Amino acid sequence: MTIQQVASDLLASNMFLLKECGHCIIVDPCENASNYDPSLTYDFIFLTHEHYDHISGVDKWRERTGAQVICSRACGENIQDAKKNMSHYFGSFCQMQAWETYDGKTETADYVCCADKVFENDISFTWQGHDVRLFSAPGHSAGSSCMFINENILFAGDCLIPGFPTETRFPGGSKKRWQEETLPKLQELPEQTILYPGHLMPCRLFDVLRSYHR
Amino acid sequence: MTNLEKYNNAFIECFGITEADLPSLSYQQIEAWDSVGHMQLIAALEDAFDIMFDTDDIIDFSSYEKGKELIGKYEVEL
Repeated sequence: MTIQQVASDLLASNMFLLKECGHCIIVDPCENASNYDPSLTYDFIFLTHEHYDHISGVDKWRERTGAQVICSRACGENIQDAKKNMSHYFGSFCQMQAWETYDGKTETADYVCCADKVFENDISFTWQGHDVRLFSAPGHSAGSSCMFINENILFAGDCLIPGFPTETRFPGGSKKRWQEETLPKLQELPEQTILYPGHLMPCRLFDVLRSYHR
Repeated sequence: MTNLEKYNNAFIECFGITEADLPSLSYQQIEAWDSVGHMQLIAALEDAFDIMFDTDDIIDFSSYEKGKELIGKYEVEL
């Protein structure tokens, strides 16, 4: 399996393309579809959470690939609301950041989309010989979830970003849920797990969790 | 609860401050009022008053006092 990382133009959010035997899974699609490969069969699109910078390419990629969009139930609800998915605030939020990553677009995006399949707590299945588990991971947002592959690869969205504490202050976020529901789940994962975060570069999960005492 | 109390409560709840802190409060003056905290505040005010700020007003909302002026544009009397 190969994992291709594409940094979007929205706060450099990561989109990932997982490829195996002519099949592909997309994680957090951005609008940049230059990596679309018509020779691949796109099996599904997984959303780690509902924030706009991680869903902006949902409609484009679904239309191009025919892939189903899968996410947690809360994510599926929130991506249909421009306030809950934060697209309404995105232009102003980027303007207020210390670093310019939105190319001066200040108008509101007001983007909404929908999921084809949602899960409540967790689901497991096999994809191209790989064991895949999706599990809810609220805290950064109500709809945050993770994809865990073969007991050693974790796509965690913005649950964990190397070098930064988990941000739980966005509307819909919850420090309590992060601490009580999600962090214990992540701390139980194997130490050799490689984390593919929603921003920045992959790293060892162990190195990121080190700052969270058990 | 009066509109002013609702307005004040949004700041107090979002930033964990007291009413005494409000009059001179401005963006980035306290750690909690950073860009993320600002989104928290805006969302809280929108919910409290059932309004939706324009993007320019979100950006211009730079202080407690400035916010009072801006929220008046949405027919909210404090």
